[in-house]
Amino acid sequence: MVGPLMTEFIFCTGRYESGDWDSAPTLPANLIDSVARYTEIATAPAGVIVPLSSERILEYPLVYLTGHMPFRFTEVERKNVQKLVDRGGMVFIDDHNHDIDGVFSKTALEEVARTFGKPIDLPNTNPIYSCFFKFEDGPPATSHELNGWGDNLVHKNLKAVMKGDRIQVLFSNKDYSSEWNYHPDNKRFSAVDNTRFGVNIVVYALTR
Amino acid sequence: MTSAQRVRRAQQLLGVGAVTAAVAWGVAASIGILAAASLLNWISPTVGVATDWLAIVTLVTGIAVAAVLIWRARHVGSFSRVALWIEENLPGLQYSLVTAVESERSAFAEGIESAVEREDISGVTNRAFRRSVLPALAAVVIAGTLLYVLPTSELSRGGLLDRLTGSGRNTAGHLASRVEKISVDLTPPSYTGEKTSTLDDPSSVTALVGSRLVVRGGGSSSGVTANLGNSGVQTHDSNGGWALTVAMPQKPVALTLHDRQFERIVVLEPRIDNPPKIVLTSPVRDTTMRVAKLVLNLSASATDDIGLSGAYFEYLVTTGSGEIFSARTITTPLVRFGGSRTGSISATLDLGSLKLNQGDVVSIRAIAQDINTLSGPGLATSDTRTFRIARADEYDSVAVDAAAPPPIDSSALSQRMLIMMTEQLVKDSKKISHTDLVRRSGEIGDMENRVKNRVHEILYETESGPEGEADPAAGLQAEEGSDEVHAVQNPDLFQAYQALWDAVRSLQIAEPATALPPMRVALKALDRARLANRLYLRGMPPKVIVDIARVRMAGKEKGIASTRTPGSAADSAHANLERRFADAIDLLQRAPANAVRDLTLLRVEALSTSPAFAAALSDAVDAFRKGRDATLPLLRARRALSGEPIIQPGLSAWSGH
Repeated sequence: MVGPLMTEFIFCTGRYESGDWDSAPTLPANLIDSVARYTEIATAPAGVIVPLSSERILEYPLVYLTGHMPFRFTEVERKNVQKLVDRGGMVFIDDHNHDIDGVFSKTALEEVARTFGKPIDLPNTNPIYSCFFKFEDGPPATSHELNGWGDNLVHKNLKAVMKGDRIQVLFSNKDYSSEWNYHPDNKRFSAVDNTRFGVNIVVYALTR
Repeated sequence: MTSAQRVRRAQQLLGVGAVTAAVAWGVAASIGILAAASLLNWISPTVGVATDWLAIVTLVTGIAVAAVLIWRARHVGSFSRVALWIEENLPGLQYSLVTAVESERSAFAEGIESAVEREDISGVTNRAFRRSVLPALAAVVIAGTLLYVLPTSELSRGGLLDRLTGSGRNTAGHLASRVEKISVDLTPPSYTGEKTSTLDDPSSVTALVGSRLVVRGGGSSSGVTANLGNSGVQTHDSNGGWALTVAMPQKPVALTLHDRQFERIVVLEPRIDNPPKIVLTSPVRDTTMRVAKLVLNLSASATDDIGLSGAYFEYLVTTGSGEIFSARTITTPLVRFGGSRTGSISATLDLGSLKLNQGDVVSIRAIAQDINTLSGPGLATSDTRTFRIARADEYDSVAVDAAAPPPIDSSALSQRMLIMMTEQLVKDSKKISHTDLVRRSGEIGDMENRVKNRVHEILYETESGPEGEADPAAGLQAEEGSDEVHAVQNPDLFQAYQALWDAVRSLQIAEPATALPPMRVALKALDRARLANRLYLRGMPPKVIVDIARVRMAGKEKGIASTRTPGSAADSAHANLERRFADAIDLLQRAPANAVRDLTLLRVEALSTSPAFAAALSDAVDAFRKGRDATLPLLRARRALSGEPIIQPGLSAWSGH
């Protein structure tokens, strides 16, 4: 099945069967706003929600997954996301609990290892930290980390499943889903835009 | 001592000297041939001296040389010839020795004996002995030294000794190369329970990761080296030959054996102990329930390629909402399978015993582990089934966009109000005039008629499909009285409609008491229809549309797209295999040994990326090693790499080139 020719970037939130995939509903709009605000990437004004069980997922270069609840792929979902990354797509999974001992983190990492291979600690020198905005110290900390919520840790690294030098699956315990989950119009109240790393993730997924 | 005794003693010494010299020259000749063969092997390894023939030639030559020399010295056996030889070397005897020997009893014997005694016969004999023996012994020493110092140490240090003493293993076979004929003792990991097996002269070894491999060959270990990939492996003497021990690595690798200029590559092909598989056969689907009163029968079946250790169920109970969630994990006792390849487990779970609250989720899965104690145990998890306890308020969750109450709700409210009005009218009927009763009953009847008409509209609107998609003819047909269809599709609404008919009729003839029962029936039916028609869908996030044109490049900060590193072509690995395969084929004519080596190393790399190609290469390498025709395996290898040839019907169009 050949999908429509994509002429603009469409932010895709993956819907999976097992948990609360929709726990950060305004994050997509916020990142779409940031991508448009800082780059010239042609961007669709609204994201889409696509079931991982549908082959339509293969039409999107970046798929965002989040949640608090136990995370499991069904067999169809597993095959589709494997196809997605094998064809050059990237999956970004963010733990909305910000808790490495939390149920989402544990079950999602199990699923990632089972589906894609064991994730590694992503070095903070990876191009994803410099492909647009520069993050010298690796992934930016979130207010959830700095306020001691979740596991009360500031995570030094993200995790990733690599193919060669390219990230196939990016896994975060930093809870960007909480950090970026606000209406884009409220961005004007921030001294520093905290969604800049989201722009890097999009740029990386589209160019690597 | 008489003259005869002197001659006999000289004869004995000369005889010993002749035999010793003959044997020594024979040995020297044999050693010389071995040294020459070693030198030839060193200068031109590809000549490959046939060791069996060399042994025969060496032996025959040595015996022949010794025999010729002994034949030439046969006159030492003649007493008179020895006496004449002494006379020849001592002219001062004036034939007195010959005379004394031939006529021991002559009258002049005493004078003759004294003349003989004056000459130094033993000196002459000893000099002759030394002249014959010492050069021969020197030749032996020189030939032996030459053999010893030659770099082809197989024939000298250890190798020759082994040959002479017979202590070498397969002594005739390793004259050209000690790595040519090998055997591999393969001991799988102990947890498999499998016994040690021996592979004779393998070009590749397939075994479980962690298996112990003992590679054995003939001859001394001195000079035999080995590399596993890029790492050196120590060889040692064992059972009259050389041996080395390695463990099967995680990835395919080449074990390269070297003996002087000889090389032998053995491909180590690891077999992965696959993790077990487990399927949760019951329950078969996820469930959401209002109350946690359910007893579940759980069952799962597991399989493994080597053996299963055990399996158990895991219950993950998740509690919480919003940003705060907690989880507790409960596992059932491990059911042990004792290394069998299949197994099944079952259990009963009473959800009531988990003290679940609203919103809690129980995730159930089965977990199996295998008996791999080396790199495992390998774990397998089944799919997860979830059992969720619904929240009381989740149907009015804020995540659901508030929708306007459906029209049927307002009908229900009106119906309740009309019942109350009718009940009041029934109470007042004895106090009011008949005219007022008819008027008020008629008013209620009109309102009830409007409700009836509204229900009629809803009934047909609902069943004719959304927004005019329904077939008008079908709608008309329904309105024309296909009541059975409506009763089946929405029995509650249809019952309400019929009851409203009765109620309207009674109210319009001023019989409010008669109208009340059907009115109440209609209310209950409408309530049921209202509940039945409400669909509770999962909440959809609010849709935010970004005004791209307004925010485009409005950010205060500026990022810079970094230079992108060009990636390699997607099929570079495949292209590399094709190139190396073609190079090896080209090399087959010019340097077959090198070509086989390249094909063997190519197989190591292809094992993980192109198994079919690697399998064909294995057959080709085996064919080369055993001197068979390798055309077919090479053809299979090429097709595995490049794909089947495409057959095109007819001739292709002329391209102009």
